[in-house]
Amino acid sequence: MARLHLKSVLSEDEQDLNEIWEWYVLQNMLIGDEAVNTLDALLSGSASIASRYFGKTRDELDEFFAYQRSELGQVTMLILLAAAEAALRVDYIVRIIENKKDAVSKQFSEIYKLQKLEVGLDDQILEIWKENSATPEIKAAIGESRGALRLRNWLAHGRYWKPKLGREYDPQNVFELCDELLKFLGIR
Amino acid sequence: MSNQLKEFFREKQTRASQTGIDWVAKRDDWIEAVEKLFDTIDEEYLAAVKDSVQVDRTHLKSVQEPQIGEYKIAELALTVGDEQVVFSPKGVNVIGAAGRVDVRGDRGEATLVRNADRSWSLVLARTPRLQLVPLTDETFLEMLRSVMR
Repeated sequence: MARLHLKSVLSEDEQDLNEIWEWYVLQNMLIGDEAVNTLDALLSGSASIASRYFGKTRDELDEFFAYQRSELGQVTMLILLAAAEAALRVDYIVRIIENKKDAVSKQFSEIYKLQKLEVGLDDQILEIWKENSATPEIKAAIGESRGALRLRNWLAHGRYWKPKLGREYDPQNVFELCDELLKFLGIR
Repeated sequence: MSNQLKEFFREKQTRASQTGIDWVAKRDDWIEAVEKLFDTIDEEYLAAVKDSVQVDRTHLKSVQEPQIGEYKIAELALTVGDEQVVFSPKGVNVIGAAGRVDVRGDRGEATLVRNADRSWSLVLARTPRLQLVPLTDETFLEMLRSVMR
């Protein structure tokens, strides 16, 4: 039975990884431009500068802009991981709607009968993809993404605990692992 | 490529040398300005209360600033009873002003800035709008009230 009614739950507002990346690059560049303008004002003695910078030394400006870049990086990683999660969940729903007959879709359909849309990303969607992955590269990409879920949870829940992430993350490598995963799974 | 790189660096060097700032003179002028500020505090603002306050101007702090390097500059410490307020120069190269002195007490901090006309102002707020008031004996007292217990 087709589950066409499920289409109504999809907003189609989810973000594309490339759009997020372009947004990040622009914001990072704007921070860089602001830093250059501010440092020029410091050197020239110009008083026509936003009051938030008034009285700051070079060290304080460096610290201020490093913080802006760091926060931009954290937000970017969170929305990249959220966008990848959205793509995986939309794919889950589309497979149910279209009643596909491949192995992954069949397993999704079994889960849907019991849990509807309350499906776990890590232990169900990604686990099913892993079980049905043909190559070590795809399994590795899934494993990397599951590791990055620890980062996603830490960011999404306000960073209040000391995270054990197992590796360093930055916007570039988070983009790459999300992009690789979705391409391997044929979702991008 | 290497020619373009040379030209790029040459432009940067030219730009830096065009500022025409005598950094040694600027540093010395700053050190002198801080001494004069401390003279004003010590000899004018505190003149009437000399027996209830101890003024210590013997401590020199090290400041490191880009273009200028490291230098020593005086701090001023006021001791009243069991409380101390320290006037600590932060630097001459600051945004929008000709130098900054941080004031630290038990309750909090305040900021003094040197204006382009060599007068001093107290920073009341930076955001949402910059609010400065001239440093006078009255605003000096208000500042002490805000940073002391």
